[in-house]
Amino acid sequence: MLRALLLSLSVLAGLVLASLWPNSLVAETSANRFSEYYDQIYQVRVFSPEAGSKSSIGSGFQVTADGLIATNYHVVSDFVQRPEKHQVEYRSHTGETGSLELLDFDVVNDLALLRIDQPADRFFSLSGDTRQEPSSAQSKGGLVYALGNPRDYGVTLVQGFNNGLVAHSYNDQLLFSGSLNPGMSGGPTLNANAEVVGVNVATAGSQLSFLIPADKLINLISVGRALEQSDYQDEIATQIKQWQRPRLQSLIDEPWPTETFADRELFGEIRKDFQCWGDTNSDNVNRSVAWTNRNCQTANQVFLSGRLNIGQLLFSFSEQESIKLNRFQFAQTLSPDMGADNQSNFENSTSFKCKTGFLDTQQKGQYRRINSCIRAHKKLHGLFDSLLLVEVNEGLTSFLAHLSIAGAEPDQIKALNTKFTERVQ
Amino acid sequence: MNIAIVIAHKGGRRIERLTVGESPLRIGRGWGSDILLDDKFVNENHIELSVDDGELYVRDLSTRNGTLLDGKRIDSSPQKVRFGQVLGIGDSQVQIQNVQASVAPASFRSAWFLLMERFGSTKSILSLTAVALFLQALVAWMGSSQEYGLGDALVGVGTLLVAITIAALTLGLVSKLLRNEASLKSHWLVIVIALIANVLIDFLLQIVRFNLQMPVLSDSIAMLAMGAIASLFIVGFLSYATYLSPSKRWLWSVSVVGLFVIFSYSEDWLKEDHQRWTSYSSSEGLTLPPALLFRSTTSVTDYFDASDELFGFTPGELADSDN
Repeated sequence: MLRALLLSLSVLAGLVLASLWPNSLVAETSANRFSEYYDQIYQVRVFSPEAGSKSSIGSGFQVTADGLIATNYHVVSDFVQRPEKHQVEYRSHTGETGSLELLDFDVVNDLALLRIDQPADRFFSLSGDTRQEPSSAQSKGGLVYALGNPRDYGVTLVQGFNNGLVAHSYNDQLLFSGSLNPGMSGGPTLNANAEVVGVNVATAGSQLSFLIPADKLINLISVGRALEQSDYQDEIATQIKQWQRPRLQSLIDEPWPTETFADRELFGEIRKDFQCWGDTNSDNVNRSVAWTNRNCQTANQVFLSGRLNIGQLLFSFSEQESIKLNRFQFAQTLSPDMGADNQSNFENSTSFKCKTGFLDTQQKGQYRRINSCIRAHKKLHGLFDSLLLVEVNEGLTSFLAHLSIAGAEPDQIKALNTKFTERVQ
Repeated sequence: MNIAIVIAHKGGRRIERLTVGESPLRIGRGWGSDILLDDKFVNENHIELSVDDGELYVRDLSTRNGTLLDGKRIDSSPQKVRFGQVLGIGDSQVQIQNVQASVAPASFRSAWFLLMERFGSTKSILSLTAVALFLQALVAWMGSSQEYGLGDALVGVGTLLVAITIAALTLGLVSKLLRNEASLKSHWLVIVIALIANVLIDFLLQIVRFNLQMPVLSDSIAMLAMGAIASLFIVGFLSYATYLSPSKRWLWSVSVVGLFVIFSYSEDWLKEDHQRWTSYSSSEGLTLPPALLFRSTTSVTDYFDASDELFGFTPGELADSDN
């Protein structure tokens, strides 16, 4: 009894000590040091006069003396998509409100620049280059501090480690091991010198959050322009095209390392931003068709609005073999139908137009069906979504290869589709 | 008493008009019979018809193969006979008709009646029914995307048999009302032939569909083909069930099919563009085994060169729909 009590007491003491010692020092210094920055965080809100309420909230911070406010594109996306039906407002720490003018945005890196009428005297300084110049807080393992207004509860400081660039991502993003919550989007993350190293952007759940590196914001500020509302959609289309061009071209030009899938010479993680997952139903004893699947996709996609996202890139293979079905029944289980992998709707895109054909084959008792479907983006001129399915059917076995590209230009879609089809033959 | 008797033997029919008076009338193979039957299973004197108190009686004359009255065997004691009842004698059927009753109006000439004469025997109808049931079971087996066992087949065949019966009885009732003749056998025959035609044409259409890979065109072809077949068979039903003239039969039949088509497609035709919008591909959903592919194939390059047209969207399709 006594022993148990002693033991629990010592454990308790250990816990208290452990929690006090290293963290308390940091917490004290950062609390003192960062208290002044709380006041410099604005709440950015998109207001819909028609609905009489706000449609989104986020955080923002001043980055220049003349009143440039940085936030995330997704915080102001409702305004960008329908400027005539929305207005952007700020609320300062004093509760003062006013309107903000949207100057520029970067949909790929999820950044937006706004102008405030009455700039504050103090503003945040941006850390030059977060990657090439590793200072104590910028390099992997350094402590950084995110500021923002989560769920409108009030400005909050979140401390966490900067874990460097996110693996398996085509776009540069920093991995931040702290809890970002809705509403903190667009707020700054500071290093120990109170320089902005990144902009809060997203979270993947417990202690896994993402930051936009500050150099992306520096790039956007350096462009120094003020977009017309009527040019917003063309600007988005241009940005998507500029992002997709090299992203897809390297896939078209570079060889895809061979990986075996179900005794076929295929491919898998063809670039660092692709991740593959596999599955099979071999443990199901009652299966009438045996299948093995591999799905590979990139994590990157671009949020444009609640109804539209773009940039998905994925492919999948499926090997199927009939166990209990005859040729007719097995054929019934095969369908060349596909669904879009990006979100869109009638306002944003057309329906898919498809063309099905059969490819040459030397083998008897086999067909190679190919089905290609294209839909166009209505507002983003020159961008299309593509779905491709190649199916090799040998009567009682079937191999399916699927490629999906969201938001690309015709020449690159055609080149990627052709390369993919030739590789899976 | 004036009567008419209809004698059916080996697919042939003849009608005799006669008078049954005080002395009975004999039917048999012998030269002395009042009505001669050329049937080797009939006795020299087979049955005797007599009249008593205004009623007609029949008795078997102790024959070798006996006599059936509506399927029931009779003996040599006189049995009362009503008009319309059928006497089975040897290989022949003898039906007694009332000459007081008026005959039905003349039917319009129709190939459907020829069909009935050719396949109208019980044996043909049963064979055709068996073929129809077999084909339906075969199609169900081929078309199932799961395992299809004997039990499933039996349930399918049983259900279909019940459906045929109900349909034939319903049509028979309609015929009885419109034409005072149930023609159950005729309707059964038409239903069974329609089922066989449906299976065969549907299979052909599936092959066309799979080879075309153009769902909209295939849908139209299927609609036309099935509409034409349905019209043809409705004309068949109308031939047996009514006294409509051939042109009116077609008019009715095409109208019924047309209304059905309009009714079933109208919801789709009335859809607005945004209701048709879908995030799914619109490809031919039907797949058949490789052996049923007959169309030509292309190289990968040729396929994608020909697919450039997929990127061509009309200004109407791309119209900004913001409102």
